[in-house]
Amino acid sequence: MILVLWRMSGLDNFMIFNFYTSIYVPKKIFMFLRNVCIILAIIFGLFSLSHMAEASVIGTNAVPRYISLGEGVTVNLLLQPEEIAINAIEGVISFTPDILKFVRIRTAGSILGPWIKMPRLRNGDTISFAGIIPNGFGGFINPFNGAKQAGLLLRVTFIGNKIGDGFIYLSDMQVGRNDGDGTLEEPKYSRVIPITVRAKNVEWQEPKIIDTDIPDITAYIIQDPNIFNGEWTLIFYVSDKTSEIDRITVREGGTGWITTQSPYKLRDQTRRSLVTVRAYDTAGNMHTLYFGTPIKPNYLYYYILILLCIILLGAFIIRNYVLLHRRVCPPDKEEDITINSTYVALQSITYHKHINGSPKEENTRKDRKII
Amino acid sequence: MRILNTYLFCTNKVFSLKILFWITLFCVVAMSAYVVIPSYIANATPVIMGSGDINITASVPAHPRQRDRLRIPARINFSGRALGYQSVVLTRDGARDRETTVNKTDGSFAISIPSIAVGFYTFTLYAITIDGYRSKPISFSLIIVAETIIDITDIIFILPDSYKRYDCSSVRSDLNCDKRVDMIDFTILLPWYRHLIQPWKPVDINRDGKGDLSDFSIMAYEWTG
Repeated sequence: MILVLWRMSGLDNFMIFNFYTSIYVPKKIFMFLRNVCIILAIIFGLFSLSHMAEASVIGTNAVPRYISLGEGVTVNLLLQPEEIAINAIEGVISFTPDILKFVRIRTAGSILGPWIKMPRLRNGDTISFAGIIPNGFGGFINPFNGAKQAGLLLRVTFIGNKIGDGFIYLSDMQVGRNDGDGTLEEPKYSRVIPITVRAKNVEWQEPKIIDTDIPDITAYIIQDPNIFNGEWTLIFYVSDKTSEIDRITVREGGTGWITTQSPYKLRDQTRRSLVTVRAYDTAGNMHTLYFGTPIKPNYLYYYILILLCIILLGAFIIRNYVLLHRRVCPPDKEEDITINSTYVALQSITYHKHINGSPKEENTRKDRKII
Repeated sequence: MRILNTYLFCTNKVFSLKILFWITLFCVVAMSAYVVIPSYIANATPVIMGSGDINITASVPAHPRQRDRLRIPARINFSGRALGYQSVVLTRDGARDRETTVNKTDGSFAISIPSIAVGFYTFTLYAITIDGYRSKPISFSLIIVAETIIDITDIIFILPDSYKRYDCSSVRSDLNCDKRVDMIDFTILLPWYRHLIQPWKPVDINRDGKGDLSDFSIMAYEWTG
């Protein structure tokens, strides 16, 4: 408006045509109005600047302006809050898919989480995301000097796919102030990040990440009328500081592992099965959580089991005792001739052994009658 | 180990020059690792920094075995006063970490995390009265460096003269009325993101007839873990 008025002022030195009212106004009045407009604009501008100074900033790392064909580039989306901490963020990232080929999204070490909308590639060229930061984020404080550092939201990696001018667009960014009123505001951010792909072929490999820490799991088994109509449900949240979460698997009792997401409706609604939650990260680390049975178990089964164990143990001891003390016994006179013959055979073996062993016993053994 | 066993316990093997070379190389690497450890960490002086109502002091104690320095995790101590409250809860990255009882006589409390891995963390503390009233949380994000001792002091929770007993209606985000705002409430609210909530339901935290980022922002503010 100021520019229009200013321009109009040059058209006529004495009388100014007002487009809105279609009348000519004297120059003094116009000059007065123009000055008022300028002063108002300055005040408004200063107010806007002061307001913007409080706004948080969503920026990126130093993204190279030029990359080679086949070369990778990782864009780190960062949040730098100013005056007031931020506790919720949503936004959209899009790119030119013919020039830049999407490789992966990484959320390890993100300040966001739990995610309302997990960042994923949609429609081949759009990544939309939303998440909260419990209790807000006001910048990472360096405890040695008090300096504040931006927090990572997510990382997106692209590869130069085709020679040309590629672009990464940030749009619909919105942040929630940690004021308890749910106040939303638009942060300051660059809407376009240009990346030009040049005609030099490069063999690019993504840097490997060394991670030995297990993922963190927070999990609950609950019954709430708002979730799965009050059925027993497993709710979990998994995060990892260094590498990505690969998968989360759940097992109920002796059944197989099921890869799932939160919330997960339990198959065994009687809650008698042991529920095991296992989270794997991309580095191969694993964290397992167990949920026992909350329902009081029927102790009769346990008593029977213990009794059976005692019986089994007793039988085992008796068996061993019998085996240890087993020996060849002499037959009774009334017994069958076949048994007696066996005894004779065994005795003769013993007899011959003794003959070879000690000649003295020979005389004593001779006295025995063999039937 | 097999080679070591062979050369240590087999009398028919001779201690070759190759082995001697590897042992020497190992010694050189070990000694250089001992020397390369930056000495400025050991000489770092405590820095006191005001961050709102709290003071953060970071220090690294001198350690005779410098080579072990990077393997030793950091330690964080929280202390302050919460007169009139029963306990103080500490959450780490939104998950409830530990809880301590407040000293009844002088209202002092102290919580310590004796071992914490290097990284970026957001800590939140809040106090609870015996009848469930919860104070306004104090939250801050820190960069944790190895073997650092971080003392966070002067954390003050003031009990208002008149306060209400805990009620579900007073904490809008406690959707399942379990006196906590956590993943369960988040899961209840999640399906309503970008959906109309008409007629009104408790999941519409800001009562604007729709589920959006604003509702989640209020929930994040009232988060207890």
